[in-house]
Amino acid sequence: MSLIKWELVKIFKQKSLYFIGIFLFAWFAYVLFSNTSGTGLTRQVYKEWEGPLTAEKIDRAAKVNEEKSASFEQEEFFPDERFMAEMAVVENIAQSQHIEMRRDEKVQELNSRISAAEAKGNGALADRLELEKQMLNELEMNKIAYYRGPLESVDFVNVFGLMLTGALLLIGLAGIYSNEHSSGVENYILSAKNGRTATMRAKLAAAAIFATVVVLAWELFNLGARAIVYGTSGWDLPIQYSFKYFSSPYSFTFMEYHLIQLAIHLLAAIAFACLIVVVSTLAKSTVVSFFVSGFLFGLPILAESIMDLNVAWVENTLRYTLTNIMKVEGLFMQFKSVSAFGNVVMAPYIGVAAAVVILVLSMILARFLIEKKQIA
Amino acid sequence: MRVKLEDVTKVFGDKRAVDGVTTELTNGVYGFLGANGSGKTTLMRMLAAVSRPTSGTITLNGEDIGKMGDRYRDMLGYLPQHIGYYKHFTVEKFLAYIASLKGLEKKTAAVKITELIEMVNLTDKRKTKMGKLSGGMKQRVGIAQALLNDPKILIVDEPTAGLDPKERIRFRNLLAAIAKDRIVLLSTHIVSDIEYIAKEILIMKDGRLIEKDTPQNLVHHIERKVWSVNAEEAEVPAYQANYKVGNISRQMDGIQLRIISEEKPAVNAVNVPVNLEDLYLYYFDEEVGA
Repeated sequence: MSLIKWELVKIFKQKSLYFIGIFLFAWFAYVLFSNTSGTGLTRQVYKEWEGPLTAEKIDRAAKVNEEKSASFEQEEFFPDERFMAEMAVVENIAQSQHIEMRRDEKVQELNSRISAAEAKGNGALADRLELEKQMLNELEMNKIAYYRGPLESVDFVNVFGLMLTGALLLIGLAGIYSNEHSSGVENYILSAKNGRTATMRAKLAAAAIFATVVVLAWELFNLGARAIVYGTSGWDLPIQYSFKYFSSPYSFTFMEYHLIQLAIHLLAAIAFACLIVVVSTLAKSTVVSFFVSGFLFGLPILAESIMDLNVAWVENTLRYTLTNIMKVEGLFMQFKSVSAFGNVVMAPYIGVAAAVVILVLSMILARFLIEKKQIA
Repeated sequence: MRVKLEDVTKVFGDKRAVDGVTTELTNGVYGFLGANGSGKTTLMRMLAAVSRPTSGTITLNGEDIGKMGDRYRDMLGYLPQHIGYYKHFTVEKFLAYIASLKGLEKKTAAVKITELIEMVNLTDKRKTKMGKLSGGMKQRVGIAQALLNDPKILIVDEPTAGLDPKERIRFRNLLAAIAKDRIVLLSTHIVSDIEYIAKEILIMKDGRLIEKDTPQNLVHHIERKVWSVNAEEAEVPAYQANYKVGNISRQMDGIQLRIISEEKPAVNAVNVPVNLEDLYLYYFDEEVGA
């Protein structure tokens, strides 16, 4: 326990961590708080419609939509904020109906594909399609509420959350071992009773704790700032209200999905933290460690921007890299699965398994490296 | 306790930094004497378990130290040639961290740290950050950290570098005092560090162990090879070119040279009592340390 404490002290003593962290948080706060005009009125309008989506509400929304659309045809019509807020509500209701309609069409399409797959004797494919169909059947767009808070909170993980986790882990952990080399303390570490295996265990544990602190810190900011700006409504709406998850068959509310999203992100962040420890153990300089780990982190993003993602194996491989697992969205936006030993394994499970494998391999490799480590 | 080195060799690329060293060490102070690049530090690192031999074995009481792992390192105190530290840690905090690496309980560590800080005369610097200490003070912290776990094998590589003469004497006395029931290995190129405290001196040259004996016996080997010659000032360059010249002192009647030579270097040359500095010069044709 004491060694973990020392490792944490060393990590948190780095001033660069605070400079970069404060800069990034300040930037995100600026982006968030500078884009809030009309929020109060919009929330008020949504409040009037909030609750279960009854047939009566759907009819009323259709009528309002007709009236509002007609207003646009008038000459010199300038909509006010209330008008726009009401339009947003009725469009959301229309969107929910559209999603249900699309769901029904997709279920019909899946029925045909299941029959075709069974006819060809492709049971594995039929099983996967059947699972997707069952999931779609569970989807219900039966609520309406103001949901900008949860929408942006969920989106935060993919972009700003990823950026914060990546940057802070790289800054905080790139030197976790290479600094011991450059400071000369490595001599004491490697010649001490608890200097090898126990110290490496402590470094890995400290890296995992640090990753958890980083994720919790930005999540606190994410939830807190959005609760202040947008309130706390909408967490019980289905994630399909988010355009990104429009085609997702996963029947989660924003709250459920965000918790899953955070758990997967955290797991991948811990795996990445352990990977940085491995790189740092191999590198003699913190700069080298930083850039090698940074390259591993950025490679999937770089590859996605320069490679043709219509190639299935490239897309599939990149989806299960740590960076993309940390983004999480790629695991849930569509129904992706493989058949393994007669079972259908969905993308989120593969993502979690990939992160666990990288985590375990990093831990084994780190231990191996420290046991073999020599000072030349 | 018995540390045994058998044909220990360390190769870096095509360089044999340590070449087939075989020897045995028991309780007491051993001085490793050699010029820079002679393999002392590499040998020290292997004994400190931070490096492994390319071939050969190092055993403690018959057990391979590599296989002993934590058990061997538990008995070890190591002061490397270049003292490492975290500049933002205070002296006390740095020692507490090393104590933790050495597996000391918190309470035991606190007592030991106070005791050692006093011993190395740094009580008033206890709360000072390592980065603000002078070279000599850092070296003293290095010495303190090596002694934290009351090691049975103490390995100190060039420990007196950066220490002033008073501190060096203090350190030598400390080593002599603690060496009674442990093995102390001290590497240096400064003869006076080991002259009076070493049980045996091991002379290393080009990675090989070329001599291992008591200081008295080593000196005895070159007993009739150290000469005192009185010369004219104009003759000095010629002596320097042809012989290993130690001290040069100006006398009333000319210049007195101390020369190490197998043969009598001049008609008026007379044999003089040998000291360890002569021994160093005999083996290493370079400037003798203080």
